[in-house]
Amino acid sequence: MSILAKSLTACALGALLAGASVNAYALDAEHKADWSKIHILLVPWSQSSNSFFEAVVNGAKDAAEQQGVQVDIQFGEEDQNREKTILETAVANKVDGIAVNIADDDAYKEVMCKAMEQGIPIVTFNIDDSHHGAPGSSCRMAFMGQNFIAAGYALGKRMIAEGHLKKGDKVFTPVEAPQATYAVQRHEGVQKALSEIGATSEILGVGNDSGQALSLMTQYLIGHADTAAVIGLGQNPTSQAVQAIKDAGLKIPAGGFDVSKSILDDIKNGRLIATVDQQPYSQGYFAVTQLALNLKYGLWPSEMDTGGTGLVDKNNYKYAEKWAGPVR
Amino acid sequence: MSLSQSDHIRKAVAVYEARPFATKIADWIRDRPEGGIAVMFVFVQLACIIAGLLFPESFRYLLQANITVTLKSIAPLGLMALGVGVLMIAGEYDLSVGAQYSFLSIVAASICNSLGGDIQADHPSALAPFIGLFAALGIGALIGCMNAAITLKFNIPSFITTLGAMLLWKGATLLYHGTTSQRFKPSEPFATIFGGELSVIHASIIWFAIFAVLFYFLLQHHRLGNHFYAVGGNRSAAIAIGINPNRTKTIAFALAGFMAAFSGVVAATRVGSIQPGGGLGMELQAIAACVIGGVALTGGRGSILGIVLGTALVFTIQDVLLLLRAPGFYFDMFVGVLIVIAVIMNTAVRRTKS
Repeated sequence: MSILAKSLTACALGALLAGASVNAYALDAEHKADWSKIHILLVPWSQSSNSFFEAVVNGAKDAAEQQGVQVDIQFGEEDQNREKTILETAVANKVDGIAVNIADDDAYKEVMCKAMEQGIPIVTFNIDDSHHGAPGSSCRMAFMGQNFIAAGYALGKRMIAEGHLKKGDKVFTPVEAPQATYAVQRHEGVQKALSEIGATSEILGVGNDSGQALSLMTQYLIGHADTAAVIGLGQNPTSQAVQAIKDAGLKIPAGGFDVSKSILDDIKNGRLIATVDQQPYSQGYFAVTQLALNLKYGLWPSEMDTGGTGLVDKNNYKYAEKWAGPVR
Repeated sequence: MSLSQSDHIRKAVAVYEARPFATKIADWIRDRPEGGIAVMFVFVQLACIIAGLLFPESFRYLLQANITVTLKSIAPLGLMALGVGVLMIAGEYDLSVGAQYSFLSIVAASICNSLGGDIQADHPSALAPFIGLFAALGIGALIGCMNAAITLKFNIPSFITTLGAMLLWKGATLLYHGTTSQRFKPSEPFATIFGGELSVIHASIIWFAIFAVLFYFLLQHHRLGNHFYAVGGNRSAAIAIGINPNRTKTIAFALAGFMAAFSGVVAATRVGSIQPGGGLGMELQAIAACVIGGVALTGGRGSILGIVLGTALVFTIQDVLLLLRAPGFYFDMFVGVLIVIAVIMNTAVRRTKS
């Protein structure tokens, strides 16, 4: 079913529901006790220590509370086998709905399609099947997450404009794990913008430890003193970019992806030009909300580009600063 | 022993002591576990310095900023490797040091911050960060003792005990703190003592040097050091000469936990914030640095100088590759290959000399 057809179905169901609103609210009061027996499973693919997913989990929990349903959170620990086992166990235990990240197109296809056949609704969040639910790919109803390529392109354009990048410039793009889908897609978006002006970029894997990332990035910049700008493709390198540039004795612009307290401090002080916020809270919140609405009323979940191409910069960092951590 | 016999021995010792300097060095390289790696290290440094002098623009090895950052990067892993190495000499492993590194630095930071030790607090407490540090060091030693108690009481491999402990403390970090990064900007004088800089020398490298010297005296000039080598090399023989292997190993485990905590706090002071998943994987890097430095995986053999040089060599390799503009995307591949080559060379140098 195409996205258009899905949206039409959702609208039609919405219209039906609006027409029968009096009855629906009567049912609401009668069936509230039953809704607390709805169990939704949320499976982030990442390691449980990844600070990005705290906001996702908070969004999911808030949504479950508002909808009066139960949410169970299991981390895939970046291991396909582990994530698949979690999904298979959930299907066997007849969970009511599943929200999951697809970091591998082929790994979960079978179990997800089996679950959908059994009537278990599935949505994806944060990372989708790269075919976006086309026939023959992983079965899911909708995706709630950022289009990394579009967001990377928007950031690239901004860095070119404000960092005065030009033809032949070399941009350093450090990332925690170069092989991960988010890294590949964000880099593709950034590089697309750079290619338009004839600039190049280089990736370096710097891992999850702040100190090691800082050392590696500084050494890279000392060895590549002709670097024109730094664009961190993940939270850890973005948070160390300003210090690494300073330690290497350079004066070049920096920007990046994701939000944390130190990243917002750097934006406030004008040391980072901008950062991309993919709104992790929205991803958890809408994944659980849309599953709950589907299970309660049969509403078809809608596609959502969380955060869009909006950047956090000096003009709007204040909201992000207030809620950094639990929500952003 | 008759007088003539001891004269004979004295004479032999005198002849041995009077060997030409070159022979002395050759013997040292052959006999010491760090012999090969010391040769490698000197060779690599000389090559880098010469290249740095010849091509100051394209190979910026001698640039002050490069020396500073390389020294800074060595200290956290080096401090951890000292504890891990001593434990390996005593014949055991600790795979939980990476998880302890994150957990205990977060414990230290949260204690410090809750007692008003943040630099931006209204009246920052000078004592708070020290209380945080000592608490972390104490808990680290205690975790080591727990690992020892379980390993020795149930007679299971420490590889398994500490693999379990690694997952336990990884989970405990999330239970205790959640997944957000933890701010750690301690008040003075703590910030200067553990994070200050004296031209190119960062405080962390001074602490690494201090602990390396302390561990050297412990291993080479203290009874306990002999006990570590004895229980790691031949447990039955150690018992036969009256050494209590459980007590000795418990101390070694406690030292590993203590050093993991210290390494975590020193690294956190440098960066100013802690990622809860930060230290994962460092336990294997620490074991690798020890093995490169000539510590035997089977226990009973190794030296502090070797551990220091092994750690320094890993980071020198990493630095040189970045300065030489190795392709960043495949960077780990080169580091991995060069580490294996370093160990092969270390073994080969010792074998040729013998």
